[in-house]
Amino acid sequence: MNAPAVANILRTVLDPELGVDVVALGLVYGIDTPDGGVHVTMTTTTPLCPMGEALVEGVDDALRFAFPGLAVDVRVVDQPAWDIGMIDVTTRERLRIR
Amino acid sequence: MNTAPARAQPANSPPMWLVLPFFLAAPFGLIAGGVLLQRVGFETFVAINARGTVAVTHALVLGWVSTVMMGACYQLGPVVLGGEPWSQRLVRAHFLLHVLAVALFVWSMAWFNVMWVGIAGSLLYCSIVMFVVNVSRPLWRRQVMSIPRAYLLCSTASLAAAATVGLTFAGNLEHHWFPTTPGRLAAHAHLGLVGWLGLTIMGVSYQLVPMFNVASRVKPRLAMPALIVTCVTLVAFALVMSFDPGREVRVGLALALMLGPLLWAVDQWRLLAGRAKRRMDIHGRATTVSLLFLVLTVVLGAGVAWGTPFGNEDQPARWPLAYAIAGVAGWAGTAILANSYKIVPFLVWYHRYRPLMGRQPVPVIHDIYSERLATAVLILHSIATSFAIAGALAGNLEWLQRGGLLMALGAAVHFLSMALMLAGKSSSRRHQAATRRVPI
Repeated sequence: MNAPAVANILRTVLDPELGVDVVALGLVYGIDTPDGGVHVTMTTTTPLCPMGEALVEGVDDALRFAFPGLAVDVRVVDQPAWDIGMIDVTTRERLRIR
Repeated sequence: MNTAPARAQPANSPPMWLVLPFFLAAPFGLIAGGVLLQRVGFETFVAINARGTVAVTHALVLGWVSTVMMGACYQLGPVVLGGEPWSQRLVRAHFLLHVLAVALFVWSMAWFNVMWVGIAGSLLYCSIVMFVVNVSRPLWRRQVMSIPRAYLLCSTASLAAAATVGLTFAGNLEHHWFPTTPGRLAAHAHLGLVGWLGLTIMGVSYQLVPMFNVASRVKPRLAMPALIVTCVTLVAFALVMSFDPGREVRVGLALALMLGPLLWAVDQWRLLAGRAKRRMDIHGRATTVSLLFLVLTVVLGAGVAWGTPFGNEDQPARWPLAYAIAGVAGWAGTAILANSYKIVPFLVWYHRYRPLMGRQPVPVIHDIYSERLATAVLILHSIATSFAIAGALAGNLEWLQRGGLLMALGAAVHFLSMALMLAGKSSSRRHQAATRRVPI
């Protein structure tokens, strides 16, 4: 189990409003895989986002489901603030985001 | 294979059936308002406090707009304002009392039963106190001041003030303590329309419009000036209007009062124009229509403050009626429609599909509702409101009544749309397939 494998799991967690996974949206800032654990650092699209809790719980649940027995730690940070420039290019074109 | 959810209940969100009843009951307030508008007579053009007008206004304000707003406050409060647990028992008791009191109040005003107006008014006041107490908890405890929190603090205070003045009016019908003058009615109406409905919509929009339209690069600049101007002028308006001032003072107060919502509208327009998402969904379209109705409300409000424009002295209530319909059904009602098509699908998604995310394909919010039905509701409601406004302005009872009928029809389609969301029968195949996997 390594960072790309974790990222693949996180691609199953969608932002329910935009229909885009958290990795493509650029919400995942860091993935760390120490022995026996997975640490993910992420943000939300806006501060006090009503859907933020759903995304964080979704990430936590997906990792626990994919890697049973491992210690999962999901940290939410405010800085740097998320910006639409963090969405990957393909997704921006698909969503017709300018 | 159906995988069991990891958590039966997400941490901060209230149970779905605590909040949904508010959204399901609200369309019946709009249906009642529309049906009652369809039954009004010519007296509605003569006196703004004609019993039919008062019944329609309260069905729309309390039965439709306020019911959705209260449900939205219970849903968004714990998430946006800080995760404090609500008293769920108090929420349920409040819902039952609110529905009973509004129905009784509208019925007693429509048939003008003074004793029941007093009883229903008292019950309504109790339900509003329950709501204010319940939402005040996270509002006051939250340490960080945010724009929605500042607006909601002021809007709940306005609701309490409007309800207190309203209860006094209800008692005054029986006991004749003081004359119910147009200025005093205007003070009560504006504490409700601008203070409660307006400030709540304005505050929540600062959170939801940038989020739903991906407008993270546009920063709202006028949020606090709009709030301060609105609150200061509203207090001045309510106090001065209670003494029925002359035309110059009235016009001055009206111009000052419309400044805050206009500043807010400029900010919202900037957010919508600077959105990253090119395609505007139902929320964006309904918000745009709502802003246009706000502009119309402001124009009509200036006319009302001036007096009886265009020589309709024998029917002085025509402009105030048009103004009230534009403000309540147009601005507030359309904003409520916009937010309903985000909050209800999100509730359904959050409680039904979120626990399955990462384990199996789940629908997204757009799949939960039918875009066609939502658009049909928006069109019907906009046409109905425009008809009613035109009917009131022209003194044409037939147009006004047809507007009411269309309004009721739009509300029925809106309820159907909500019911289909819950049943998992929206137009989206992805939602229907997911519903088959997750029994309701």
